[in-house]
Amino acid sequence: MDEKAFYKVVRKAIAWLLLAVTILFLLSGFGIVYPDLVGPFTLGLLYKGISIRLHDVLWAPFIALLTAHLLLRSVIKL
Amino acid sequence: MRPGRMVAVLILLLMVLLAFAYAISALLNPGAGAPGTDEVREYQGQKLSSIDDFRENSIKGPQHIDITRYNLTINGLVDHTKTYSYADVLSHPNYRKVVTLNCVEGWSVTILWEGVRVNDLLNESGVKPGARTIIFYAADGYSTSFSLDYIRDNNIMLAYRMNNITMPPERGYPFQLVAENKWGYKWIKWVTRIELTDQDYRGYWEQRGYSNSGDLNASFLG
Repeated sequence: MDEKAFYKVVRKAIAWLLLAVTILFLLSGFGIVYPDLVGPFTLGLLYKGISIRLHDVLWAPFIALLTAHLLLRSVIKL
Repeated sequence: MRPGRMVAVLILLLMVLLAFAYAISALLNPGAGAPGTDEVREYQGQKLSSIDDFRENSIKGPQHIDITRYNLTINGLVDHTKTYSYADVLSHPNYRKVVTLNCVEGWSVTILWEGVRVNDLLNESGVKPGARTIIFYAADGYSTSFSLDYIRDNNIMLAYRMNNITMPPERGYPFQLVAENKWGYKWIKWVTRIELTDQDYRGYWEQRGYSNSGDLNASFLG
């Protein structure tokens, strides 16, 4: 894999991961406040307890992915 | 290939990896004691939340109280300053009640609380005429206050058990106040001292703009 292709794969992976983490961050937030709605919507996966635990730890990957997503383009252009 | 650029990309990837490692580690080691199988989830036909359904939002994180050195003090405008050990408090008549805690963050939990009435402790200390405010202090420096009438009239409880199991440290062990019909920030945990006064008092969040009464039927913003 050449350098350009590698950067493209990394950027795409970061972007998709950021999207997934953002959705999970939002869903777990709603899962805390509206467990009766989000629980069935996620087939019981995001019940209140797991929503709380997920929401309280997802900030770290979210910030890291967002930073990487924003900086990668500039770094690659250097 | 530019080595500088590659290093920068690798640093960003490493940062992402570390963030995921932190998240996975925190998920697998939440620090909370597992409730175990003894936790009841229904009481007299009423469905209960789990004690894991709380969001930890205390000001300094969970406090781990050494129960052998723990004391609950009642002072201020009382006839006799009293100091109780954990066992002393538990020797009082205990009461059970299902009460819902509503947090200002939007979530709520319905729990079977078991504990002693603050009234019983106050009666032993003897409340001096003129006392109208009761202040609760916690091990982490948190505090909050109520009108004495509220505590008296509603038989407010200091809980030491939740859903039939001993309150875990992250929930407020040894005692959490069950401040019925008040916003969650009035439900002080890790209570160490109760003071009676004839002055108004604003606690931790109340000093930062939250309502001093903390009534559920009104906005929590001062």
